[in-house]
Amino acid sequence: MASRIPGEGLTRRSLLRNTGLAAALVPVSGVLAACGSGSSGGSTGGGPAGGGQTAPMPAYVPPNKPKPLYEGNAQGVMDVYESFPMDGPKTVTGPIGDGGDFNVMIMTYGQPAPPLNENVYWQLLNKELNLNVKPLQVPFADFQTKFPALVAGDDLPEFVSVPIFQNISRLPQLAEAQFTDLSEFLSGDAVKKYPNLAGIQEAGWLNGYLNGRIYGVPRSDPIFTTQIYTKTDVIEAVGANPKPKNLQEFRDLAKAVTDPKAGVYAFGGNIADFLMMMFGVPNKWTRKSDGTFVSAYEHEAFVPAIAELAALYKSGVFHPDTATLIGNKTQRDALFRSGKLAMVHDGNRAFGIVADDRNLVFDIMLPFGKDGGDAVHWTGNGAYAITMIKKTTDKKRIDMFLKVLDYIAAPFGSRESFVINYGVEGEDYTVKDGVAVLTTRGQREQDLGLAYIAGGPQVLCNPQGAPGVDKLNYDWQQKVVSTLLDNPAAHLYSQTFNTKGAALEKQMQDAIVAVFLGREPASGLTSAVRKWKAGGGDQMAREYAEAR
Amino acid sequence: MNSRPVWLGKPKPIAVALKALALVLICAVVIFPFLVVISTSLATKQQIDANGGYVIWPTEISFEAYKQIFNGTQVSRSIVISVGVTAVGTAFSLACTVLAAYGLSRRQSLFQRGLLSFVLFTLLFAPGMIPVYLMVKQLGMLNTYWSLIIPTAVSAFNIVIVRGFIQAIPHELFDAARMDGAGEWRILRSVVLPNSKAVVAVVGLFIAVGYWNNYFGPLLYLNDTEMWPLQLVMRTFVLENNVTSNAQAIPGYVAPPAQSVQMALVAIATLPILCVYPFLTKHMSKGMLTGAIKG
Repeated sequence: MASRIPGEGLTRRSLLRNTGLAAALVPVSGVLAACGSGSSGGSTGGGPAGGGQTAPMPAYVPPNKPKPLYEGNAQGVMDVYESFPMDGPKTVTGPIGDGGDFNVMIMTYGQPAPPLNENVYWQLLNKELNLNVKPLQVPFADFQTKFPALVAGDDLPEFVSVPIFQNISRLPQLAEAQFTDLSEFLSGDAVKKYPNLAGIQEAGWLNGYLNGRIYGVPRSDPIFTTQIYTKTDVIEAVGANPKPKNLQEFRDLAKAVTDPKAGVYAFGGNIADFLMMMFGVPNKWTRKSDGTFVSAYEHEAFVPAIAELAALYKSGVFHPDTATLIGNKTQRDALFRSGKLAMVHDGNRAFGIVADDRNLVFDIMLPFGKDGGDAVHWTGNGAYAITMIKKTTDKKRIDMFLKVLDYIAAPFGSRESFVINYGVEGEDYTVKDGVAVLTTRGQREQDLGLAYIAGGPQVLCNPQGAPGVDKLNYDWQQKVVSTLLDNPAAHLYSQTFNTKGAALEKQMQDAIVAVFLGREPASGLTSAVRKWKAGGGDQMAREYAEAR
Repeated sequence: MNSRPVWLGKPKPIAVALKALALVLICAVVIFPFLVVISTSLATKQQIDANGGYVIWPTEISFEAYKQIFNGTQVSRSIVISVGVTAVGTAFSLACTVLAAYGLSRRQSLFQRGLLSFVLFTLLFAPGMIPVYLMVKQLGMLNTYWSLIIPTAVSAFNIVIVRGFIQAIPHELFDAARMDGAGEWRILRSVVLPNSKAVVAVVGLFIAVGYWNNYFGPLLYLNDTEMWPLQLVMRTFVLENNVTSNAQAIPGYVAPPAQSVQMALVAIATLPILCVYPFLTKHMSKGMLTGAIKG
């Protein structure tokens, strides 16, 4: 277990050497300087093994939750509930807040919530937590813009939720300079004081580790990444096989469903990930037995997988607007729902399609190897965000912060989870046939975003979705879980990835799309990979090897 | 009444037909996107899905998208904020721009050359996001509406345009005004402004559109979502339905018909500018050509 903890064996000296901190910390230099004595010693919380040492993983205690319809497992298969339980257990006891302000930065996917005086949901949360919650809401697409400005101006609020996928520049250094080391309060059995936080699994906690210490409390995410949804009515109408078992059958299916005269196409977006998993390309990186790292772009199956993608595109099975549909999920979803796309590649939850449309007839394609047999299925990070508290030595304040997160992290079906999801009866939700249904007001008010800042395993519960959607997903997960393939670098720190990773990845994705859409030959990928390696890929590999 | 000059011959019917066709096509190219926006915003989810995302003519009118936008959201409040910021900002910017341009157009102004060079120098460099943020913070304007106005109030480009226009006003007018005893303020009010309506209208429109469309400033400087203007609130609507997030769904939450809501927002955001435009078009051609044909 402990060997998976990111940053284990990493000393502060090696961290500084790897990161070139002295030369590079331009945006946060003022902040570091402002930290005074707090910054010189790094971790203020200490920890069971002393400051600077790797903190043990928080103990796992199964959460107190209602019995699901179908039970998930520790490998990542999600629990299934028919609907939200109305009489779930109370998981938090005793006082939480001190009646003061709780200034928290939250990344949101929705609209700004109505103001406090018009928002009964917000008022209820304040009462439940005995706090005056003051969220600083940042739209997810603008987080990378807003966050550096707040850091530069030393304007970060006391509590900050940082999305994992945003790849915040020099986050470990920032955490050490500005945020509290929570290891003392969460490592090992210490976490049991907060039972709902103890119900967060290791895959989530791994994201809370920075510099080998626990700085953040995670909001867990499903371990599964993407899959192909099939429109079975469209496929069956042409008598094609909706469950291909190898590449040839996949090609036959795509060809059979495509009917340009009727405006029906097999695909409308980029399915490179699906093909790469089919061809056995590793999840971002491979760690060799000698400890060195090799990128998936250097894997022998990478170029053939993209060449196959280009060949499929050339054969005419992709929608003519694919170039624009790649970045337009809304329109892709509409085309899929209307049967103009027979298949769509989407996230595990597929919001906007199967999770939200009662009338959709669909299935989920099981992954398969190119020549038959099993494919690999890449895993995600295991967490969507981590939430941290600004540097403080006030243990009461830290305890209050963790109690708040303990409340928010209450498992699905608990009383606390019900409050967070539904708010006030009669205003935010109504009960219909024994099931809570959000009102329009409730949908707007819960855009506050608190549910995004901490939490344990998610569940499958989409009563508003296509019939059987959750069972289908559950069955799919059961079959795929044995083929899950981790990214060995997922929780390791690379300064190069942190500073140049996004640009390098965009460069590679542009090269993949260029080959996909026939603008470049597949051989162009070889030079793109060479450029990627020279531009920072090789350096990332070295840094990941050292980080182990 | 035929307004054709006598020296022009009678056009051939085929030429008239081709011109009419070209005009119709050009109009169609301009009008078609607006038609799709309005139609999709008024269409039902079923029709939008059936058409693959966009609707040219709704078979059944539905105001559901508009209801969603105005029902319990911040759109109404944000429209008022946007109108207020645009009105105050445009007035403030125009005042600063005209005053600066007039001052810099007079050779006898104190430090005219140095100040002009200083203004032109700012055209060479765009300030970085962080320095501007820190400046706004130091001035105590974070989380105030002034942060949306002051940092972008004066544009060197606009000053150059207006200054060029003022310089083109005949000197005799200034001389006559002075002989009549007018001071600088009187000259500005009674000579310069009446002769600069075209450029003021055009620059005013540029400035107003800039304030109306500004979402980046509010994003950086306004932490309180109650203060967000329409463009930033609109952005959250557009982003809301275009993510593949794995974040937990709430059972019972039904996603809105994304496309119609987005199109309704486009319609709402475009309407005010469309309303202002016709009143300024008569000044547009003259204003736009300012400097372009100056020999």
